[in-house]
Amino acid sequence: MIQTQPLQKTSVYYPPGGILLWIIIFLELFTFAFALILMAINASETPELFYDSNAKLNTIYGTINTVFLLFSGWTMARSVSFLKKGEPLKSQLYLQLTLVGGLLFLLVKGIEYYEKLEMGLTLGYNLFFTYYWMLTLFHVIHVVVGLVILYILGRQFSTSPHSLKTEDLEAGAAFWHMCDLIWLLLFPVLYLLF
Amino acid sequence: MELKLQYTLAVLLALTLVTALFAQMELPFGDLLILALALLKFYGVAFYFMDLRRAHPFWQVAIVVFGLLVLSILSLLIG
Repeated sequence: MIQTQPLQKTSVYYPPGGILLWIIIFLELFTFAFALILMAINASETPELFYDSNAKLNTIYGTINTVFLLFSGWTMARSVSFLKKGEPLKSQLYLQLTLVGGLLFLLVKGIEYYEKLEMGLTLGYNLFFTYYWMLTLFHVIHVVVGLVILYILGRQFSTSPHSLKTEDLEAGAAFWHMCDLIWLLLFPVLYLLF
Repeated sequence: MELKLQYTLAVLLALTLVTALFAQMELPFGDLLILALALLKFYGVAFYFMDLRRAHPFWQVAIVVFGLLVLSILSLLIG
């Protein structure tokens, strides 16, 4: 008779959310970090351009969006925690709050983008704004994908609250937190430095 | 667990506000301070919200090294 062993949660092969997702997370983090380092190199070559352009960004929007993403990260972590404790209804509630946090982030980002476009600060305005649009839009795409994943998990909750696996919610949560991590790198470099 | 998550959120929000305040002031080494606070928030999300503190040390070391490496390079270029 074949003996099976239970999953070792502290095994190197089972980080929270699964190893495949963590490989993706590190690839994404390295991609964004590489772009930010390139941006910093360009900024050291033309500091005046980056200083003047940076002054055109609204730090308040960036700070509000950081608060929304941190809040949604917290609600997501609580959602996973409640599912692990066998309280799917509370888990569903916090998942919905996470979706609200993500949507609020997109709303503020939309207002910010609208203002920038009104001022003529488009992708081709200068090198700083090329980085600004490319990095933030790429991040927004991740947020939208994260929201779609969470929406699908939420639908599964609605149809059969007890059928959702903890591993599935953890994987969705890991993707969502990745959006947090990327933003925490982007926010200081784009909005506060130079 | 729940309490730890709430403390983490409170600390992260406080660090965000402090970062925004520091950015308005002309502090010596202000850029380094902002990057250091960003790194703390990065680790806060990774270790508490993503529950990496319960994961294998490989993943913990990987995220710590990544954060230190990126923020060190940025500090050298910007600072």
